[in-house]
Amino acid sequence: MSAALADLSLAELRRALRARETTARAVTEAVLARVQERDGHVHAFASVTADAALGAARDADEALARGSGGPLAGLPVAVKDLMAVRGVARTNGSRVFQGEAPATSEATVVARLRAAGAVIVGTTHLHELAFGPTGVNPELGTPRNAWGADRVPGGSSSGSGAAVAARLVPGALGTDTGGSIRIPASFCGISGLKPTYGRVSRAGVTPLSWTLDHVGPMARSVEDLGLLLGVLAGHDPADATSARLPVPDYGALLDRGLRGVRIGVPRDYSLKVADPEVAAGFDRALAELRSAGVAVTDVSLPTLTPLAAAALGAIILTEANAALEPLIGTRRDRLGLEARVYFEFAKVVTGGHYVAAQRLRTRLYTEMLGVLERVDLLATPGTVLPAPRIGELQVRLDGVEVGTTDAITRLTGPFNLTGLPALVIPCGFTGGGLPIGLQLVGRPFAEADVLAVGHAYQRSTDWHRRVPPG
Amino acid sequence: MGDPEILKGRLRAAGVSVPDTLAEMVLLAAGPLIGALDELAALDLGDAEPFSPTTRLPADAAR
Repeated sequence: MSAALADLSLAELRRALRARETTARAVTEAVLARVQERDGHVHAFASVTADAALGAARDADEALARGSGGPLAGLPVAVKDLMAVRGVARTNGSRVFQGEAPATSEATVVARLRAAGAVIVGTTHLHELAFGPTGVNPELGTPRNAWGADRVPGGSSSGSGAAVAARLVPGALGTDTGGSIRIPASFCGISGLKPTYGRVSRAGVTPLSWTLDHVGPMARSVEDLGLLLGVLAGHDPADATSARLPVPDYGALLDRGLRGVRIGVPRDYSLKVADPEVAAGFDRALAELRSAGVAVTDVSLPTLTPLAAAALGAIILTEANAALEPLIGTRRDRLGLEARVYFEFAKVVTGGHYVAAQRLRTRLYTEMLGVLERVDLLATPGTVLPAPRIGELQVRLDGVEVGTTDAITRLTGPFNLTGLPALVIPCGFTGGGLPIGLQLVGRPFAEADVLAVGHAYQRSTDWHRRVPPG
Repeated sequence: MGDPEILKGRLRAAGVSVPDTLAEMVLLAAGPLIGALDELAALDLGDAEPFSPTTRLPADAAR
């Protein structure tokens, strides 16, 4: 029974808890047992908060018995180890922060999860300082990609992606600056949502890049993402970038079907440099959507060129240097090699580069918005390649050598630049058994539209239900 | 990626300190970005102002 509980999705657990078929305590014990059993192998968790989790489960059971449990009552969730969790010393994925005092307050998203009755079971590893897309962390360890032990899990929310994929926990939070929720979702075969910039508070979350950072949910289904987003979203006075817009009932808006939906594909950019198996998997997903009544057309985004990637790099390097330098202070010698190199690169970026990058964002956004007046969503593969091997610095795509970091972020980064909501869900596998992701992008604050199409796709396919081999 | 010597000179001029043993790896990772920065700065972006996501996104959501 305990193993079966640990395998259920958030929505399935929620139904079982509300029907009194199980208890929050039983669910929490099952998940903690699963973490204890497997995490030595997966290495997804930076900390496990078992006592606090069991206390939260007891509270959830009491609330459910009274009929007053919150929307996530008794549901286990992990959070990325750069979010403040009371009583937990966060590492931010770096030896720089090891040994710091435990947090005395909580990130708004963590507080919202708790207020909704969720059970926080621990914090998850990440690429050092969230500064990189592979999830490889030689300093504190690299979470294992359940679909291939020699493959990167994707980052920077590597532990959250690996934990959800390996069935350690049904849901987790990540952050996304250039793709850090969607890349591990793509590589680990799970579902991940980067909401619109400003939709979810970042208060209490260690920054990487103020104008690009997003917080969002990761889970095994779109239905679960909707459950989590409903709790996370909404204005927060503690975050100056937080939007004052109403939050829809995402669950009530999921079952709208696909008929009449219009999807635009920026094919020239998305598939120009792509792994052939990824391109084929993406085209199969588009064919499935077409057969369900979706109108799919190619669209043009002239500003979506490699210069968009340069803009992303210029902004991240500049803002990360400004945001993190004061936090790192005199402990720079404890940084890992990759982070040190990135901080050195920041010296190359001038004020002129930075402003040009921010202006390019306006042009790219205006173009995307124009296209989104003619179609409802944009679609691309989640990433142009399946999970590369650990340590692979260059990959060969369509006969061209491409830097691995550039290749990984090619399709996710543009939607950090524009701040539009972007979902990645699994849509197939390579011949070698590695997941392929489908990315769906919507209009500003139209997360409900993106989730509805993703949910409809998952109702007619079973890619998201596939269980990894080990 | 551009000429490695030009890129190395660029890094030196900016005061970037990278051990010689890592220079090739660094250029592999950063070459495309460094090479594209000047092209980015020279781009004709018309009257586009720097992006303001906190203003633009909510305003366009309300349209």
